[in-house]
Amino acid sequence: MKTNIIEFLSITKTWGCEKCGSLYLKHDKSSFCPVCGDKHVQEINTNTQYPEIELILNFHKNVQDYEDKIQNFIQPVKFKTEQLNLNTIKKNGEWVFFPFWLVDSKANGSWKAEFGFNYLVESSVEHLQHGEWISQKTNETRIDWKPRQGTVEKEYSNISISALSYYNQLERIFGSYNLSNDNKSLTDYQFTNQITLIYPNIDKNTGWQFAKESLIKKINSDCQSAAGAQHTKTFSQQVQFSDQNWTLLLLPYFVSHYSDEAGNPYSIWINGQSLRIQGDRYSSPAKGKQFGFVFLLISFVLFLLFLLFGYLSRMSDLVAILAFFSLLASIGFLIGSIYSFFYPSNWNKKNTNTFNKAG
Amino acid sequence: MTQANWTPPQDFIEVPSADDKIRVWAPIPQSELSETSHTYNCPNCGAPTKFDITTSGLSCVHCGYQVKPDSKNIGKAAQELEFRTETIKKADMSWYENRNQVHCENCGANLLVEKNDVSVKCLFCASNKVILQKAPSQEFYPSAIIPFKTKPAQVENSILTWLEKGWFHPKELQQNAKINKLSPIYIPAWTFDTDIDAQWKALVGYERQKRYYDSSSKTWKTKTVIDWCWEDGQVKETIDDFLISGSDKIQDHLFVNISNFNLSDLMEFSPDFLVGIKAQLYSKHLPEAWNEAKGKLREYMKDACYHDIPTSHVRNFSLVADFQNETWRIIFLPIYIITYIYQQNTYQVVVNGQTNQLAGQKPVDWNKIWLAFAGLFAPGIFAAFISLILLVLGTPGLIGLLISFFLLVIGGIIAVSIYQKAKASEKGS
Repeated sequence: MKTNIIEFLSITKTWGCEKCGSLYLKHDKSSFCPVCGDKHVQEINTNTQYPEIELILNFHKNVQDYEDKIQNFIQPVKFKTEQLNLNTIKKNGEWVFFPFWLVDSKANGSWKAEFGFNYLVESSVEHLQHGEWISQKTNETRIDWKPRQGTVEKEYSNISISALSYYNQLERIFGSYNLSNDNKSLTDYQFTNQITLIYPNIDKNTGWQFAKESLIKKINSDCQSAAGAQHTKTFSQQVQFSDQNWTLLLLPYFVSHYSDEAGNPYSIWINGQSLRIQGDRYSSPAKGKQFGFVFLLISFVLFLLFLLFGYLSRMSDLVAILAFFSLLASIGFLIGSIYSFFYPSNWNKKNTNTFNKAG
Repeated sequence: MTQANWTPPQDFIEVPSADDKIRVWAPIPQSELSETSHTYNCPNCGAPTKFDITTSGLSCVHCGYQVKPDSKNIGKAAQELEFRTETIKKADMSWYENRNQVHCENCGANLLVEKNDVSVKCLFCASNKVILQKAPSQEFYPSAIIPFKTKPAQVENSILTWLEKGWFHPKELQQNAKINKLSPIYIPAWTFDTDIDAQWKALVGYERQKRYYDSSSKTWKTKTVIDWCWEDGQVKETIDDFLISGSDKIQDHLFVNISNFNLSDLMEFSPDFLVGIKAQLYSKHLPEAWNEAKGKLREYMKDACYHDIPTSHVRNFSLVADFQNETWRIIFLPIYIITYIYQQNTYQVVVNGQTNQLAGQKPVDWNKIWLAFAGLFAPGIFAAFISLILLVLGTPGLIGLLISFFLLVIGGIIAVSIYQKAKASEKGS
């Protein structure tokens, strides 16, 4: 069923995660947190109004591309847990939007800086060979620091500020978005039941502090460029900001969950624009042990064969060769057995717990 | 503070901005602050003043008013500049374009000035005017100056003493070299600093005594053999204020002979020093001067590396000299200069205006030299002649022949020495 944003907001329920504290809207029952992947989520009765949404950065539309990404992502895992397969990941997948602020502001005031200007210095290396001098010129870039002052009267648009306090964690997982992309429109977007919408937890007042920092950085960078400089040592400003305009933008990502044999949850995230994929790739120690025991058994049988063939090798050379290959195979299976026992725990140390590692 | 009520500092000037919404101010360049000319008249009587070497100050020839130049001692701390690529490009431009005409602020006359003259006197009102002609950029402006220390009278005495020296010069030389032609002049000079890291590699030979059996004489003998091996080494040198003349008016070898300037006497450059004293702008540009300096420094480093090798047997010597932290500056140096013509040849005498060291060319009276040669060889020839007669007469003359040979050798050695001295004197020393 497809609805517009107003209907979508009215028919969805609010859910909250005990672990990461995120609040989100979802039509159906929620079993996993779309942010951290934790299972401890519950429906919350709240009067919190979702701020007015103005723009949406749409999902990358080709579903096959997502499937290919997932397939390639999970393919290298050995002894995969039962649920780590494309079908389960597709079935548990959620299409999530999270909020992002875009701020427009006018800046008017003065600035003072010490800028660095690159310059080239000529030097030389002199070679004496076979009685002849050869001069080889070399160039070195140095920086000239010079004071500059001036004024700025400029309008800044679309200064991007996160509306989530844990956005940095998400950004480390699935990377940043290209906000200059024109694919930002709310008017014709149809929300489906699969959509999850995360509440912002940074309001305009708190967000302005971050916006101001970004604006000052932008002014510094613009003044440096205007002066033709390449570096900044010090920069101070007395700028007044006015006519701020805030826009709430929704950014897309895909998240899916699966569990191991003990029911512990794992997540995989995909950036809805760049399709950068990151997440937990769980290798099952139980499966590893199963394989390990089988290999160990085969190794033992082969070793017995080696002893038997060894005893009979006096009868013919062929039996002696069989004894030798039995020993080789026995050693091979023994190594395979050890590998199967230890691989999953080593692999999981590096390839799971993605959300916490990004924190 | 908004843009409307912000005012730029007084010593700042607006510069072009790459963004029309942002305006940029920068400090006013030093070159735009400095004036291009000064007129020096006595504040008491209005007569022209000039720099008086004897008092080391500006003085009025009419009423005796005196004042010290507006400058301070900066010594070797005088600003040194880097070899920026843009500076080197500017250095190729001419110093003195569009700077031939000077307007006298005293009487209004327009003067045409010699291209290389920095200081002139107005021909109409005798006003002293110093033209601070603009170089292609500020860095080519002399940053420091060593004022004259030696008085003209001292220099005259030195020249007289120097001219009197040497018996093989023409008698009329002292009359021709009239002291009233003595001209104090500031000449430009480049100073260079650099660190040089030289890595050398060579096949070095060490002598060794070797015993061998000589079958022909059936004895054991000793001979010297050389063992060759590859060696390498490193020599690091810091060069401070390596002087290269910026003037083509003074011959290089003469400049080298008087270049023992003490740069700790460097004063901050002020046009006051040029009032009434000629000064020359550089005619040797920075790249040319630096190449000359590098040529000399390369050879200096080569000698330093050779000095590191404990033997004289060296083959396949190669060297890589890495010049680092190069800086330069241009300064004015005080020189007294005389040029005179003798037998259609021009000779030059220069005196260091700070240390009174003198170098110059002196013509040689070659007749005197040939007479001296004749005098030197005469005893040997005479002794040989007598000995031969004695031998013909049947008396023992062999000892006489040996004595004559000895006298001829002594005479020859002295003659060569005299010839070399005469040539050097003619060239300038």
